[in-house]
Amino acid sequence: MSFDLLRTLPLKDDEIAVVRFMVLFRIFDIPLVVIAVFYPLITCYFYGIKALIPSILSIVSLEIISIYIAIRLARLFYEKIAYSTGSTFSTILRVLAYFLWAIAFMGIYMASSLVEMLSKKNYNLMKYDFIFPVNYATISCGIFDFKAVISSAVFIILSYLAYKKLCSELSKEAKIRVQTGKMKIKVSKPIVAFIKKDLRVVTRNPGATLLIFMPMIEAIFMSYLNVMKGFLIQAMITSVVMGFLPMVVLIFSGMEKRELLKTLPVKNRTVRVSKTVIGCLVYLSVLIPLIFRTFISLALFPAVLTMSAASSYMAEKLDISRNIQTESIKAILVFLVCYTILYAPVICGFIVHFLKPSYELVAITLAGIAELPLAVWFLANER
Amino acid sequence: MLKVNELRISYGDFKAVKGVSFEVERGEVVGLLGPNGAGKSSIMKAIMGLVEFEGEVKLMGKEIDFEAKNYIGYVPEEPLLIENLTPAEFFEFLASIRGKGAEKAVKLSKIFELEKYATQPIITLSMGNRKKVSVIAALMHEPDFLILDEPMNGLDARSSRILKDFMREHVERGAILFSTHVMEIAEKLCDRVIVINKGEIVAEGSVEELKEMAKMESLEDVFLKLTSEEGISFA
Repeated sequence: MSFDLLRTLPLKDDEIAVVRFMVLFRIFDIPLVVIAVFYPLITCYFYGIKALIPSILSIVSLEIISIYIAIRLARLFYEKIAYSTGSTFSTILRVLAYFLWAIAFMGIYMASSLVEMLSKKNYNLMKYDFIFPVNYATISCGIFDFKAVISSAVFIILSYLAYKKLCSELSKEAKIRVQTGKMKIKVSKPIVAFIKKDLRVVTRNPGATLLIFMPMIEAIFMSYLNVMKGFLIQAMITSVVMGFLPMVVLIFSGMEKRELLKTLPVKNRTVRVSKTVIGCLVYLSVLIPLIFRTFISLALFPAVLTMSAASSYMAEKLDISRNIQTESIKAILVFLVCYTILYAPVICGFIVHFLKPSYELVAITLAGIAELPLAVWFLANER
Repeated sequence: MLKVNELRISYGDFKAVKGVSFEVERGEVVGLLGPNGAGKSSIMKAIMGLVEFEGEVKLMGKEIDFEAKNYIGYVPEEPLLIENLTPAEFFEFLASIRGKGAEKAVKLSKIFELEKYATQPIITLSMGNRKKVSVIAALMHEPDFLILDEPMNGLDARSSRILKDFMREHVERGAILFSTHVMEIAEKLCDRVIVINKGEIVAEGSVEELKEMAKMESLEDVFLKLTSEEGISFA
């Protein structure tokens, strides 16, 4: 939201800061409303009416501290990292920074979940009063003692200070670090140029970066869980991991500025091939951790290639722009086609598993290869 | 060099351009003049294939396909940029797609004093600097034909002068079609002007010819008379 308009009105900086804070608070409105209504109700049900005020206070203080941490980190990343130069090193640095950001922001929720888990195991929480948000010290143990009251007060004061600091931070405009550097241009082939451009654009967008690397994170996580035994489990886990891929290709396809492309001597095929390569590259990052646990991931590679080609072709024909939320019908259509292409070989594998076990991989591979002519059609079609 | 014949553009029921025909010869600077909403930008967008149209648009005798775009440089009114890239990355992308223009982009960045912003994302640049990026993007591959939609808008005095000098230099080997609201610029730069009002050509000729037809001293007066509600036409 642009706050420049507010600055032209007879409003004080403090008042503008409060509006900004409320706008930020609104970003989290749905989870907040759910938590603010249901959490006090649930705690009251378990601990009685005395838990009402501490539970509301805990939600408010926890949210303010969380938002403060998120904003501080966002400032840091946007000012110093998101808009850094285009070198390969800084692109890698940006991706790593986003992971740290996500972990730090979610850390406070993880910590509070951990406390809940510990309290259920009847650990002696009173020893650790000061590290827990207000309600855990007072409600979870079911007693009000001096230490609990002090720790609660500390949290409330901390959240008040965070709120004041946040308001003063928000009254200042974010400063983007101005970087000066030499104009260096390294010409490459058009397909490579599209891939480089896409990776540069996406690594300057924290949300998109995390979404694109989500399949890889999920694959690493899954591959180290000791549950990938038997064809059915392996196929299901691989299918879940692959579920993100159509979204990834669609994000990259939607990123194209179609108007700009129309002014350039570029063939539609070049754009589609570049998106397909990106889809396959993302899948390769998934494949590497999974391949040590199951060969299904390798057998599905032709289906992923076909799906990527189909997704980029449909995004171009349906003119899906970057904001796919506003074009949900088109996006659903693309997803339906993509998931059909992606999961048809898996379904073949399931059928063969029940008819003739140990031939599943062959079935998946053959079904995937059978889809390849479709990929060629999507990529080569110049209409 | 450019031939536009019976060009019609509609946005739903609204007819933005109603059968416009004109030609631009090599070595010519042609100005498209008209009030806001007259259809100037729509004509330029149609030439670039950005809007659906009826009629005929030909460059050097051929329809404008993807290869012809190697010979055209286009500066839209609103810069068409990839804002999350730096100018250096954006020029690198364009040079890679066109297979030429890298050296010229570096040279033009120095001339337009954009070099110091080379590694700063475009989204963080001022409007003027974004316009410079757009202008360099259109000139870097040394096109034969330039389509410039309000090219001076947002540019500082020095950059405007550089662009005007560049246009004069360019026209010796190509042609330019450009639109502007500033009559002084049109008067100084144009070999011929086409005045458009409500999607139709209302006058066409050299600045002197138009002044003579309207019996007026300045192009501004001619323009105001042609685009007034009475709807006078010399076409």
